Amino acid sequence: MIRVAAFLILTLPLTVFAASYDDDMPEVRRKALKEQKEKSCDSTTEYIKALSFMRANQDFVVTETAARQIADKISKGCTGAADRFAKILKMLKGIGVSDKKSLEMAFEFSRLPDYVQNNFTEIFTKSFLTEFFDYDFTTALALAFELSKDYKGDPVQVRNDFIELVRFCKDGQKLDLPTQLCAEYTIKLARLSQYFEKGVREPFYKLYTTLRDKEEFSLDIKTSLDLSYNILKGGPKAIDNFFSAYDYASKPEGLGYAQDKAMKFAMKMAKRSYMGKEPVVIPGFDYHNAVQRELASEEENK
Amino acid sequence: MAVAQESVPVKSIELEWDPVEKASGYEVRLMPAKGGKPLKFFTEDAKLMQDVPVGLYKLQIRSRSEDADIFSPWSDTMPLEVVAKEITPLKPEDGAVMESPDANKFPVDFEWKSVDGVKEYTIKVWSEKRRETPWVFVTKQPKKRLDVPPGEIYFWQVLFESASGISYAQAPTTFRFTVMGAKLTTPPIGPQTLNPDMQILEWEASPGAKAYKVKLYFRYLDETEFKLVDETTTENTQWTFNRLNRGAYKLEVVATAPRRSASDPGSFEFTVKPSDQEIQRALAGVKR
Repeated sequence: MIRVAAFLILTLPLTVFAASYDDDMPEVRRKALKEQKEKSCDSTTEYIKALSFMRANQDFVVTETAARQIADKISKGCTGAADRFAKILKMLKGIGVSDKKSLEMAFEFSRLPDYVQNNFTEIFTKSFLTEFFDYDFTTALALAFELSKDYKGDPVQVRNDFIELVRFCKDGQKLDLPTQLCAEYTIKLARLSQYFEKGVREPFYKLYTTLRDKEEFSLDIKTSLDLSYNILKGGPKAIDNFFSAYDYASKPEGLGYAQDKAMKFAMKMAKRSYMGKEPVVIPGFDYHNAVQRELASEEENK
Repeated sequence: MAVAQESVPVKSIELEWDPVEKASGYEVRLMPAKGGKPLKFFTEDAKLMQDVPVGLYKLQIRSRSEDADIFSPWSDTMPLEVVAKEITPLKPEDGAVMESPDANKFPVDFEWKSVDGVKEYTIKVWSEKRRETPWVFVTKQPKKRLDVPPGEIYFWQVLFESASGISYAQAPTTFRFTVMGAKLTTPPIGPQTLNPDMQILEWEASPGAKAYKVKLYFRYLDETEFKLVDETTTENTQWTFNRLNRGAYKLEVVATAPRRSASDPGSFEFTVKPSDQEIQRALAGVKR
Protein backbone atom coordinates (compact mmCIF):
# COMPACT_ATOMS: atom_id res chain seq x y z
CA MET A 1 0.00 0.00 0.00
CA ILE A 2 2.67 2.42 1.01
CA ARG A 3 4.80 1.29 -2.00
CA VAL A 4 1.95 1.99 -4.33
CA ALA A 5 1.32 5.29 -2.69
CA ALA A 6 4.99 6.12 -2.94
CA PHE A 7 4.93 5.21 -6.61
CA LEU A 8 1.94 7.41 -7.09
CA ILE A 9 3.55 10.19 -5.12
CA LEU A 10 6.73 9.81 -7.15
CA THR A 11 4.99 9.74 -10.53
CA LEU A 12 2.54 12.56 -9.85
CA PRO A 13 5.05 15.44 -10.06
CA LEU A 14 6.48 14.01 -13.30
CA THR A 15 3.05 13.94 -14.92
CA VAL A 16 2.42 17.47 -13.73
CA PHE A 17 5.77 18.64 -15.14
CA ALA A 18 5.11 16.98 -18.56
CA ALA A 19 1.68 18.62 -18.97
CA SER A 20 3.15 22.08 -18.16
CA TYR A 21 5.90 21.78 -20.81
CA ASP A 22 3.36 21.13 -23.57
CA ASP A 23 0.86 23.66 -22.34
CA ASP A 24 3.36 26.47 -21.78
CA MET A 25 5.32 26.08 -24.99
CA PRO A 26 2.97 25.15 -27.85
CA GLU A 27 2.14 28.64 -29.23
CA VAL A 28 5.74 29.85 -29.25
CA ARG A 29 6.92 26.58 -30.63
CA ARG A 30 4.18 26.55 -33.23
CA LYS A 31 5.05 30.04 -34.31
CA ALA A 32 8.73 29.27 -34.51
CA LEU A 33 8.12 26.11 -36.52
CA LYS A 34 5.86 28.03 -38.86
CA GLU A 35 8.39 30.77 -39.28
CA GLN A 36 11.12 28.22 -39.86
CA LYS A 37 9.05 26.61 -42.59
CA GLU A 38 8.34 29.94 -44.26
CA LYS A 39 11.89 31.13 -44.11
CA SER A 40 13.53 27.90 -45.21
CA CYS A 41 14.77 28.03 -48.75
CA ASP A 42 15.69 25.38 -51.33
CA SER A 43 18.51 27.53 -52.57
CA THR A 44 20.41 24.76 -54.37
CA THR A 45 17.30 23.54 -56.18
CA GLU A 46 16.56 27.08 -57.27
CA TYR A 47 20.11 27.58 -58.51
CA ILE A 48 20.02 24.39 -60.56
CA LYS A 49 16.58 25.13 -61.96
CA ALA A 50 17.56 28.66 -62.92
CA LEU A 51 20.78 27.58 -64.60
CA SER A 52 19.05 24.77 -66.53
CA PHE A 53 16.43 27.22 -67.70
CA MET A 54 18.99 29.77 -68.91
CA ARG A 55 20.96 27.09 -70.74
CA ALA A 56 17.86 25.75 -72.50
CA ASN A 57 16.09 29.04 -73.22
CA GLN A 58 16.15 30.16 -76.88
CA ASP A 59 14.39 33.50 -76.32
CA PHE A 60 17.16 34.88 -74.17
CA VAL A 61 20.61 33.61 -75.05
CA VAL A 62 23.46 34.42 -72.67
CA THR A 63 26.97 33.16 -72.06
CA GLU A 64 27.54 30.38 -69.54
CA THR A 65 29.19 32.89 -67.20
CA ALA A 66 26.20 35.20 -67.35
CA ALA A 67 23.82 32.27 -66.88
CA ARG A 68 25.64 31.26 -63.70
CA GLN A 69 25.55 34.81 -62.39
CA ILE A 70 21.81 34.94 -63.03
CA ALA A 71 21.29 31.59 -61.33
CA ASP A 72 23.30 32.79 -58.37
CA LYS A 73 21.13 35.89 -57.99
CA ILE A 74 17.91 33.91 -58.33
CA SER A 75 18.91 31.39 -55.67
CA LYS A 76 18.70 34.23 -53.12
CA GLY A 77 14.99 34.60 -53.82
CA CYS A 78 14.15 31.45 -51.87
CA THR A 79 11.88 28.59 -52.88
CA GLY A 80 10.01 29.11 -56.14
CA ALA A 81 12.26 31.95 -57.31
CA ALA A 82 13.46 30.13 -60.44
CA ASP A 83 9.93 29.45 -61.66
CA ARG A 84 8.79 32.99 -60.95
CA PHE A 85 11.82 34.32 -62.79
CA ALA A 86 11.28 32.01 -65.77
CA LYS A 87 7.57 32.80 -66.13
CA ILE A 88 8.03 36.54 -66.10
CA LEU A 89 10.99 36.38 -68.46
CA LYS A 90 9.18 34.16 -70.95
CA MET A 91 6.05 36.30 -70.85
CA LEU A 92 7.88 39.58 -71.34
CA LYS A 93 10.11 38.27 -74.12
CA GLY A 94 7.01 36.78 -75.71
CA ILE A 95 5.29 40.15 -75.97
CA GLY A 96 8.28 42.16 -77.20
CA VAL A 97 10.02 43.68 -74.17
CA SER A 98 13.76 44.26 -74.41
CA ASP A 99 16.22 41.79 -72.86
CA LYS A 100 17.38 44.31 -70.28
CA LYS A 101 13.91 45.22 -69.03
CA SER A 102 12.72 41.60 -69.10
CA LEU A 103 15.67 40.50 -66.99
CA GLU A 104 15.21 43.37 -64.57
CA MET A 105 11.53 42.61 -64.03
CA ALA A 106 12.09 38.86 -63.85
CA PHE A 107 14.63 39.37 -61.07
CA GLU A 108 12.24 41.62 -59.24
CA PHE A 109 9.37 39.15 -59.33
CA SER A 110 11.60 36.20 -58.48
CA ARG A 111 12.00 37.72 -55.02
CA LEU A 112 8.28 38.27 -54.46
CA PRO A 113 5.74 35.61 -53.46
CA ASP A 114 4.03 33.38 -56.02
CA TYR A 115 0.70 35.12 -55.75
CA VAL A 116 2.24 38.50 -56.52
CA GLN A 117 3.73 37.07 -59.71
CA ASN A 118 0.45 35.32 -60.55
CA ASN A 119 -1.41 38.58 -60.06
CA PHE A 120 0.95 40.44 -62.28
CA THR A 121 0.79 37.86 -65.06
CA GLU A 122 -2.97 37.56 -64.95
CA ILE A 123 -3.73 41.26 -64.75
CA PHE A 124 -1.12 42.25 -67.30
CA THR A 125 -2.23 39.73 -69.92
CA LYS A 126 -5.88 40.66 -69.50
CA SER A 127 -5.07 44.35 -69.78
CA PHE A 128 -2.59 44.11 -72.66
CA LEU A 129 -3.74 41.38 -75.05
CA THR A 130 -6.00 42.15 -77.98
CA GLU A 131 -8.56 39.55 -76.92
CA PHE A 132 -9.18 41.44 -73.66
CA PHE A 133 -8.68 45.12 -72.94
CA ASP A 134 -5.99 45.77 -75.57
CA TYR A 135 -4.32 48.54 -73.59
CA ASP A 136 -0.94 49.88 -74.66
CA PHE A 137 2.09 48.42 -72.90
CA THR A 138 2.69 51.31 -70.50
CA THR A 139 -0.91 51.43 -69.27
CA ALA A 140 -1.18 47.65 -68.90
CA LEU A 141 2.11 47.53 -67.02
CA ALA A 142 1.12 50.32 -64.63
CA LEU A 143 -2.16 48.61 -63.89
CA ALA A 144 -0.55 45.21 -63.35
CA PHE A 145 1.98 46.74 -60.94
CA GLU A 146 -0.75 48.60 -59.10
CA LEU A 147 -2.70 45.39 -58.48
CA SER A 148 0.27 43.11 -57.78
CA LYS A 149 3.53 44.20 -56.21
CA ASP A 150 2.27 47.65 -55.21
CA TYR A 151 -1.05 46.35 -53.91
CA LYS A 152 -1.74 46.75 -50.19
CA GLY A 153 -4.91 44.67 -50.04
CA ASP A 154 -5.35 40.92 -50.44
CA PRO A 155 -3.62 40.03 -53.72
CA VAL A 156 -5.49 36.74 -54.08
CA GLN A 157 -8.85 38.50 -53.78
CA VAL A 158 -7.99 41.26 -56.19
CA ARG A 159 -6.80 38.77 -58.79
CA ASN A 160 -9.95 36.72 -58.53
CA ASP A 161 -12.04 39.86 -58.58
CA PHE A 162 -10.30 41.10 -61.71
CA ILE A 163 -10.65 37.83 -63.59
CA GLU A 164 -14.30 37.38 -62.69
CA LEU A 165 -15.21 40.99 -63.37
CA VAL A 166 -13.61 40.82 -66.82
CA ARG A 167 -15.59 37.70 -67.56
CA PHE A 168 -18.85 39.21 -66.28
CA CYS A 169 -18.26 42.44 -68.14
CA LYS A 170 -17.57 40.83 -71.51
CA ASP A 171 -20.20 38.10 -71.19
CA GLY A 172 -22.80 38.40 -73.91
CA GLN A 173 -25.53 37.22 -71.55
CA LYS A 174 -24.64 39.57 -68.77
CA LEU A 175 -23.13 43.00 -69.41
CA ASP A 176 -21.53 42.69 -72.83
CA LEU A 177 -20.02 46.17 -72.61
CA PRO A 178 -17.70 47.60 -75.30
CA THR A 179 -14.07 46.77 -74.50
CA GLN A 180 -13.06 50.30 -73.54
CA LEU A 181 -15.96 50.75 -71.07
CA CYS A 182 -15.51 47.24 -69.73
CA ALA A 183 -11.85 47.88 -69.06
CA GLU A 184 -12.43 51.18 -67.29
CA TYR A 185 -15.18 49.78 -65.10
CA THR A 186 -13.40 46.56 -64.17
CA ILE A 187 -10.30 48.43 -63.09
CA LYS A 188 -12.31 50.90 -61.04
CA LEU A 189 -14.11 48.07 -59.25
CA ALA A 190 -10.97 46.00 -58.75
CA ARG A 191 -9.40 48.91 -56.91
CA LEU A 192 -12.19 48.63 -54.33
CA SER A 193 -11.35 44.98 -53.65
CA GLN A 194 -8.93 45.98 -50.91
CA TYR A 195 -11.84 47.13 -48.68
CA PHE A 196 -13.69 43.81 -48.80
CA GLU A 197 -12.58 40.76 -46.86
CA LYS A 198 -13.66 38.33 -49.56
CA GLY A 199 -13.22 40.61 -52.50
CA VAL A 200 -15.65 42.95 -54.25
CA ARG A 201 -17.13 40.67 -56.92
CA GLU A 202 -19.90 39.06 -54.90
CA PRO A 203 -21.11 42.31 -53.29
CA PHE A 204 -21.03 43.86 -56.76
CA TYR A 205 -23.06 41.08 -58.42
CA LYS A 206 -25.72 41.23 -55.68
CA LEU A 207 -25.90 44.98 -55.74
CA TYR A 208 -26.01 45.29 -59.51
CA THR A 209 -28.60 42.55 -59.89
CA THR A 210 -30.81 44.16 -57.24
CA LEU A 211 -30.64 47.56 -58.87
CA ARG A 212 -31.40 46.08 -62.28
CA ASP A 213 -33.96 43.43 -61.52
CA LYS A 214 -35.79 44.45 -58.35
CA GLU A 215 -39.07 46.12 -59.23
CA GLU A 216 -38.69 49.11 -56.95
CA PHE A 217 -35.44 50.03 -58.73
CA SER A 218 -35.40 48.54 -62.29
CA LEU A 219 -32.56 50.85 -63.27
CA ASP A 220 -30.85 50.86 -66.68
CA ILE A 221 -27.39 49.31 -67.11
CA LYS A 222 -25.41 52.55 -66.94
CA THR A 223 -27.19 53.86 -63.83
CA SER A 224 -26.93 50.47 -62.12
CA LEU A 225 -23.20 50.31 -62.81
CA ASP A 226 -22.54 53.88 -61.68
CA LEU A 227 -24.62 53.49 -58.58
CA SER A 228 -23.05 50.13 -57.71
CA TYR A 229 -19.59 51.61 -57.90
CA ASN A 230 -20.49 54.68 -55.84
CA ILE A 231 -22.06 52.54 -53.11
CA LEU A 232 -19.16 50.07 -52.99
CA LYS A 233 -16.72 52.95 -52.58
CA GLY A 234 -18.13 53.28 -49.09
CA GLY A 235 -16.87 49.86 -48.06
CA PRO A 236 -18.73 46.76 -46.86
CA LYS A 237 -21.22 48.58 -44.59
CA ALA A 238 -22.30 50.91 -47.36
CA ILE A 239 -24.59 48.38 -49.07
CA ASP A 240 -26.68 47.77 -45.96
CA ASN A 241 -26.73 51.47 -45.17
CA PHE A 242 -27.90 52.27 -48.69
CA PHE A 243 -30.79 49.84 -48.79
CA SER A 244 -31.99 50.46 -45.29
CA ALA A 245 -31.80 54.21 -45.85
CA TYR A 246 -33.70 53.88 -49.11
CA ASP A 247 -36.33 51.75 -47.40
CA TYR A 248 -36.79 54.24 -44.62
CA ALA A 249 -36.76 57.27 -46.87
CA SER A 250 -39.43 55.86 -49.21
CA LYS A 251 -41.87 54.85 -46.49
CA PRO A 252 -44.63 57.32 -45.61
CA GLU A 253 -43.93 56.76 -41.92
CA GLY A 254 -40.22 57.34 -42.63
CA LEU A 255 -39.32 60.34 -44.82
CA GLY A 256 -42.01 59.82 -47.46
CA TYR A 257 -39.66 60.60 -50.35
CA ALA A 258 -40.18 59.79 -54.03
CA GLN A 259 -37.65 57.41 -55.62
CA ASP A 260 -35.19 60.06 -56.74
CA LYS A 261 -34.99 61.82 -53.42
CA ALA A 262 -34.94 58.55 -51.51
CA MET A 263 -31.98 57.39 -53.63
CA LYS A 264 -30.08 60.61 -52.92
CA PHE A 265 -30.70 60.20 -49.21
CA ALA A 266 -29.61 56.57 -49.35
CA MET A 267 -26.42 57.54 -51.18
CA LYS A 268 -25.65 60.14 -48.54
CA MET A 269 -25.96 57.53 -45.83
CA ALA A 270 -23.85 55.07 -47.78
CA LYS A 271 -21.02 57.60 -48.03
CA ARG A 272 -20.93 57.84 -44.27
CA SER A 273 -20.23 54.14 -43.84
CA TYR A 274 -16.66 54.55 -42.58
CA MET A 275 -14.53 56.80 -40.45
CA GLY A 276 -11.44 58.41 -41.80
CA LYS A 277 -10.40 59.23 -45.35
CA GLU A 278 -11.22 55.82 -46.82
CA PRO A 279 -12.54 52.44 -45.68
CA VAL A 280 -10.03 50.19 -43.93
CA VAL A 281 -7.76 48.27 -46.28
CA ILE A 282 -7.80 44.53 -45.61
CA PRO A 283 -4.35 43.16 -46.38
CA GLY A 284 -3.71 39.61 -47.56
CA PHE A 285 -3.26 36.83 -45.06
CA ASP A 286 0.32 36.27 -45.96
CA TYR A 287 1.03 39.84 -46.92
CA HIS A 288 3.02 40.69 -43.83
CA ASN A 289 5.23 37.63 -44.14
CA ALA A 290 5.73 38.19 -47.81
CA VAL A 291 6.86 41.73 -47.18
CA GLN A 292 9.24 40.54 -44.45
CA ARG A 293 10.69 37.96 -46.81
CA GLU A 294 11.21 40.60 -49.43
CA LEU A 295 12.94 42.95 -47.01
CA ALA A 296 15.19 40.19 -45.71
CA SER A 297 16.14 39.29 -49.24
CA GLU A 298 16.98 42.91 -50.03
CA GLU A 299 19.20 43.15 -46.96
CA GLU A 300 21.10 40.09 -48.00
CA ASN A 301 21.58 41.42 -51.49
CA LYS A 302 23.20 44.64 -50.32
CA MET B 1 60.60 71.01 -124.79
CA ALA B 2 57.59 71.82 -126.98
CA VAL B 3 54.93 73.96 -125.37
CA ALA B 4 51.44 72.76 -126.02
CA GLN B 5 49.41 75.35 -127.89
CA GLU B 6 45.98 76.34 -126.74
CA SER B 7 43.35 75.45 -129.30
CA VAL B 8 41.78 78.59 -130.77
CA PRO B 9 38.03 78.67 -131.14
CA VAL B 10 36.80 78.76 -134.68
CA LYS B 11 33.81 80.69 -135.93
CA SER B 12 32.04 80.69 -139.24
CA ILE B 13 32.22 83.96 -141.14
CA GLU B 14 30.22 85.05 -144.09
CA LEU B 15 31.51 87.74 -146.46
CA GLU B 16 29.89 89.30 -149.49
CA TRP B 17 31.14 91.96 -151.87
CA ASP B 18 30.15 93.58 -155.13
CA PRO B 19 30.88 91.21 -157.99
CA VAL B 20 33.42 92.20 -160.65
CA GLU B 21 32.34 91.98 -164.29
CA LYS B 22 33.81 89.02 -166.19
CA ALA B 23 35.59 87.73 -163.09
CA SER B 24 35.84 83.95 -162.98
CA GLY B 25 36.57 83.88 -159.28
CA TYR B 26 38.00 85.66 -156.30
CA GLU B 27 40.78 85.18 -153.83
CA VAL B 28 40.29 86.27 -150.24
CA ARG B 29 43.30 86.85 -148.01
CA LEU B 30 43.14 87.20 -144.24
CA MET B 31 46.34 88.39 -142.64
CA PRO B 32 46.48 87.96 -138.85
CA ALA B 33 47.04 91.32 -137.21
CA LYS B 34 49.61 89.77 -134.88
CA GLY B 35 51.53 88.42 -137.84
CA GLY B 36 51.94 84.93 -139.12
CA LYS B 37 50.88 82.98 -142.10
CA PRO B 38 47.89 84.52 -143.92
CA LEU B 39 44.74 82.49 -144.62
CA LYS B 40 43.76 82.23 -148.29
CA PHE B 41 40.48 81.14 -149.76
CA PHE B 42 39.21 80.83 -153.32
CA THR B 43 35.65 81.25 -154.36
CA GLU B 44 33.77 81.50 -157.62
CA ASP B 45 31.04 83.75 -156.27
CA ALA B 46 31.29 87.14 -154.66
CA LYS B 47 30.76 85.68 -151.22
CA LEU B 48 32.52 83.47 -148.84
CA MET B 49 31.35 81.33 -145.98
CA GLN B 50 34.25 79.91 -144.08
CA ASP B 51 35.34 78.72 -140.62
CA VAL B 52 38.04 80.99 -139.37
CA PRO B 53 39.94 81.09 -136.09
CA VAL B 54 38.76 83.85 -133.82
CA GLY B 55 40.95 86.92 -133.95
CA LEU B 56 41.78 90.24 -135.64
CA TYR B 57 42.66 90.22 -139.30
CA LYS B 58 43.38 92.47 -142.27
CA LEU B 59 41.13 91.49 -145.15
CA GLN B 60 41.94 91.81 -148.82
CA ILE B 61 40.17 90.50 -151.89
CA ARG B 62 41.21 90.24 -155.53
CA SER B 63 39.43 88.95 -158.62
CA ARG B 64 40.60 86.52 -161.27
CA SER B 65 40.08 87.19 -164.97
CA GLU B 66 37.62 85.26 -167.02
CA ASP B 67 39.94 83.69 -169.58
CA ALA B 68 43.31 83.59 -167.92
CA ASP B 69 44.81 83.00 -164.59
CA ILE B 70 45.46 86.69 -164.06
CA PHE B 71 44.55 88.35 -160.76
CA SER B 72 43.68 91.94 -160.16
CA PRO B 73 45.60 93.93 -157.60
CA TRP B 74 44.61 93.37 -154.00
CA SER B 75 41.84 95.56 -152.66
CA ASP B 76 42.49 98.05 -149.91
CA THR B 77 43.09 96.45 -146.57
CA MET B 78 40.04 96.23 -144.40
CA PRO B 79 40.13 95.27 -140.70
CA LEU B 80 38.09 92.21 -139.86
CA GLU B 81 37.38 90.91 -136.39
CA VAL B 82 36.17 87.38 -136.01
CA VAL B 83 34.53 87.12 -132.58
CA ALA B 84 32.85 84.31 -130.74
CA LYS B 85 29.18 85.06 -130.47
CA GLU B 86 27.57 82.83 -127.95
CA ILE B 87 24.24 82.58 -126.26
CA THR B 88 24.31 83.00 -122.47
CA PRO B 89 21.12 81.60 -120.97
CA LEU B 90 19.59 83.63 -118.15
CA LYS B 91 16.40 81.68 -117.60
CA PRO B 92 16.02 78.84 -117.02
CA GLU B 93 19.54 78.14 -115.78
CA ASP B 94 21.23 75.31 -117.59
CA GLY B 95 20.39 72.11 -115.69
CA ALA B 96 17.62 73.70 -113.64
CA VAL B 97 14.99 71.49 -112.05
CA MET B 98 11.59 73.05 -111.55
CA GLU B 99 8.43 71.71 -109.98
CA SER B 100 5.05 72.22 -111.52
CA PRO B 101 2.03 72.63 -109.28
CA ASP B 102 -0.21 71.92 -112.26
CA ALA B 103 -0.42 68.37 -113.56
CA ASN B 104 -1.03 69.53 -117.16
CA LYS B 105 1.16 72.51 -117.97
CA PHE B 106 3.98 74.63 -116.66
CA PRO B 107 4.94 78.07 -118.03
CA VAL B 108 8.66 78.40 -118.80
CA ASP B 109 10.17 81.84 -119.32
CA PHE B 110 13.16 81.58 -121.64
CA GLU B 111 15.56 84.49 -121.46
CA TRP B 112 19.12 84.96 -122.65
CA LYS B 113 21.68 87.73 -122.87
CA SER B 114 21.10 89.83 -125.95
CA VAL B 115 23.81 89.63 -128.60
CA ASP B 116 25.07 92.79 -130.34
CA GLY B 117 23.96 93.28 -133.87
CA VAL B 118 21.44 90.46 -133.88
CA LYS B 119 18.24 91.02 -135.86
CA GLU B 120 16.25 88.13 -134.52
CA TYR B 121 16.57 84.94 -132.61
CA THR B 122 15.23 81.49 -133.38
CA ILE B 123 14.52 79.41 -130.30
CA LYS B 124 14.04 75.69 -130.55
CA VAL B 125 12.69 73.61 -127.65
CA TRP B 126 12.14 69.88 -127.50
CA SER B 127 11.87 66.97 -125.07
CA GLU B 128 12.69 63.30 -125.41
CA LYS B 129 9.11 62.72 -126.51
CA ARG B 130 9.14 65.69 -128.91
CA ARG B 131 12.52 65.15 -130.46
CA GLU B 132 11.04 64.99 -133.97
CA THR B 133 8.55 67.83 -133.45
CA PRO B 134 10.26 70.60 -131.52
CA TRP B 135 8.66 73.93 -130.79
CA VAL B 136 10.34 76.60 -132.94
CA PHE B 137 9.78 80.32 -132.47
CA VAL B 138 11.34 83.39 -133.98
CA THR B 139 11.62 86.45 -131.78
CA LYS B 140 13.26 89.83 -131.92
CA GLN B 141 13.56 90.00 -128.15
CA PRO B 142 15.93 87.74 -126.22
CA LYS B 143 13.06 86.05 -124.42
CA LYS B 144 10.09 83.79 -124.93
CA ARG B 145 7.42 82.19 -122.74
CA LEU B 146 6.24 78.68 -123.48
CA ASP B 147 3.82 76.32 -121.67
CA VAL B 148 5.23 72.79 -121.45
CA PRO B 149 3.79 69.58 -120.03
CA PRO B 150 5.39 68.68 -116.67
CA GLY B 151 7.25 65.46 -115.96
CA GLU B 152 9.90 65.70 -118.72
CA ILE B 153 13.47 66.75 -119.45
CA TYR B 154 13.66 69.59 -121.97
CA PHE B 155 16.40 70.85 -124.28
CA TRP B 156 16.68 74.24 -126.01
CA GLN B 157 18.87 76.17 -128.40
CA VAL B 158 18.96 79.73 -129.66
CA LEU B 159 20.18 80.61 -133.13
CA PHE B 160 20.51 84.19 -134.36
CA GLU B 161 20.89 86.34 -137.46
CA SER B 162 22.92 89.49 -137.73
CA ALA B 163 21.27 92.82 -138.41
CA SER B 164 22.74 92.85 -141.85
CA GLY B 165 21.07 89.57 -142.67
CA ILE B 166 24.14 87.45 -142.30
CA SER B 167 23.60 84.42 -140.17
CA TYR B 168 26.41 83.83 -137.75
CA ALA B 169 26.57 80.15 -138.29
CA GLN B 170 27.73 78.51 -135.15
CA ALA B 171 27.39 75.20 -133.47
CA PRO B 172 24.64 76.23 -131.13
CA THR B 173 24.92 75.20 -127.50
CA THR B 174 22.12 73.00 -126.20
CA PHE B 175 20.82 73.83 -122.77
CA ARG B 176 18.59 71.65 -120.64
CA PHE B 177 16.10 71.84 -117.79
CA THR B 178 13.65 69.52 -116.09
CA VAL B 179 10.07 70.18 -115.14
CA MET B 180 9.02 67.82 -112.40
CA GLY B 181 5.38 66.94 -112.11
CA ALA B 182 3.37 67.97 -109.07
CA LYS B 183 4.61 66.49 -105.81
CA LEU B 184 2.82 63.28 -105.02
CA THR B 185 0.40 63.30 -102.10
CA THR B 186 1.27 61.40 -98.93
CA PRO B 187 -0.30 57.94 -99.02
CA PRO B 188 -2.84 57.65 -96.17
CA ILE B 189 -2.13 54.78 -93.77
CA GLY B 190 -4.77 53.64 -91.33
CA PRO B 191 -5.19 50.86 -88.74
CA GLN B 192 -3.60 47.60 -89.83
CA THR B 193 -4.83 44.00 -89.95
CA LEU B 194 -2.82 42.37 -87.21
CA ASN B 195 -3.52 38.71 -86.78
CA PRO B 196 -0.82 37.18 -84.52
CA ASP B 197 0.15 34.74 -87.31
CA MET B 198 -0.04 37.07 -90.30
CA GLN B 199 0.34 40.82 -90.64
CA ILE B 200 -0.94 42.55 -93.77
CA LEU B 201 0.38 46.09 -93.87
CA GLU B 202 -1.67 48.30 -96.18
CA TRP B 203 -1.91 51.88 -97.30
CA GLU B 204 -4.08 53.85 -99.70
CA ALA B 205 -2.87 54.66 -103.19
CA SER B 206 -1.44 58.08 -103.90
CA PRO B 207 -2.83 59.48 -107.22
CA GLY B 208 -0.18 59.29 -109.94
CA ALA B 209 2.22 57.13 -107.94
CA LYS B 210 3.98 54.38 -109.86
CA ALA B 211 5.74 52.75 -106.93
CA TYR B 212 6.10 52.99 -103.16
CA LYS B 213 9.23 52.96 -101.06
CA VAL B 214 8.27 51.25 -97.82
CA LYS B 215 10.23 50.99 -94.59
CA LEU B 216 9.46 49.03 -91.45
CA TYR B 217 10.93 50.08 -88.12
CA PHE B 218 10.90 48.13 -84.84
CA ARG B 219 11.35 48.94 -81.18
CA TYR B 220 10.90 46.95 -77.99
CA LEU B 221 7.78 47.93 -76.02
CA ASP B 222 9.81 49.48 -73.21
CA GLU B 223 12.10 51.50 -75.49
CA THR B 224 11.54 54.71 -77.47
CA GLU B 225 13.96 54.50 -80.43
CA PHE B 226 12.85 52.76 -83.60
CA LYS B 227 15.35 50.87 -85.73
CA LEU B 228 14.96 50.03 -89.41
CA VAL B 229 14.37 46.29 -89.83
CA ASP B 230 13.14 45.94 -93.40
CA GLU B 231 12.47 47.94 -96.55
CA THR B 232 11.15 47.37 -100.02
CA THR B 233 9.97 49.10 -103.18
CA THR B 234 6.66 47.90 -104.51
CA GLU B 235 4.00 48.82 -107.02
CA ASN B 236 1.35 47.37 -104.72
CA THR B 237 -0.30 49.04 -101.74
CA GLN B 238 0.33 46.11 -99.44
CA TRP B 239 3.17 44.29 -97.73
CA THR B 240 2.53 40.97 -96.03
CA PHE B 241 4.48 39.29 -93.23
CA ASN B 242 4.14 35.91 -91.57
CA ARG B 243 4.60 36.22 -87.84
CA LEU B 244 6.42 39.46 -87.25
CA ASN B 245 8.32 39.48 -83.96
CA ARG B 246 6.15 40.78 -81.16
CA GLY B 247 6.72 44.41 -80.30
CA ALA B 248 6.11 47.94 -81.57
CA TYR B 249 6.46 48.93 -85.23
CA LYS B 250 6.34 51.97 -87.45
CA LEU B 251 5.42 51.69 -91.11
CA GLU B 252 6.63 54.48 -93.41
CA VAL B 253 5.52 54.82 -97.04
CA VAL B 254 6.70 57.25 -99.70
CA ALA B 255 4.93 57.48 -103.08
CA THR B 256 7.20 57.83 -106.13
CA ALA B 257 6.81 58.37 -109.88
CA PRO B 258 9.32 59.27 -112.61
CA ARG B 259 9.91 63.00 -112.81
CA ARG B 260 7.61 63.80 -109.97
CA SER B 261 8.76 64.81 -106.53
CA ALA B 262 8.32 61.97 -104.09
CA SER B 263 5.62 62.44 -101.50
CA ASP B 264 6.27 63.25 -97.87
CA PRO B 265 6.37 60.00 -95.92
CA GLY B 266 3.15 58.69 -94.47
CA SER B 267 3.60 56.71 -91.28
CA PHE B 268 1.63 54.62 -88.82
CA GLU B 269 2.64 52.99 -85.55
CA PHE B 270 1.22 49.70 -84.40
CA THR B 271 1.93 46.88 -81.94
CA VAL B 272 2.06 43.19 -82.81
CA LYS B 273 0.76 41.26 -79.82
CA PRO B 274 0.72 37.53 -79.18
CA SER B 275 -2.52 35.66 -78.61
CA ASP B 276 -3.52 34.61 -75.10
CA GLN B 277 -3.00 31.00 -76.19
CA GLU B 278 0.59 31.77 -77.14
CA ILE B 279 1.27 33.35 -73.75
CA GLN B 280 -0.36 30.50 -71.85
CA ARG B 281 1.71 28.02 -73.84
CA ALA B 282 4.89 29.91 -72.99
CA LEU B 283 3.98 29.98 -69.29
CA ALA B 284 3.01 26.31 -69.24
CA GLY B 285 6.37 25.48 -70.76
CA VAL B 286 8.06 26.62 -67.56
CA LYS B 287 8.33 23.40 -65.59
CA ARG B 288 7.92 23.51 -61.83
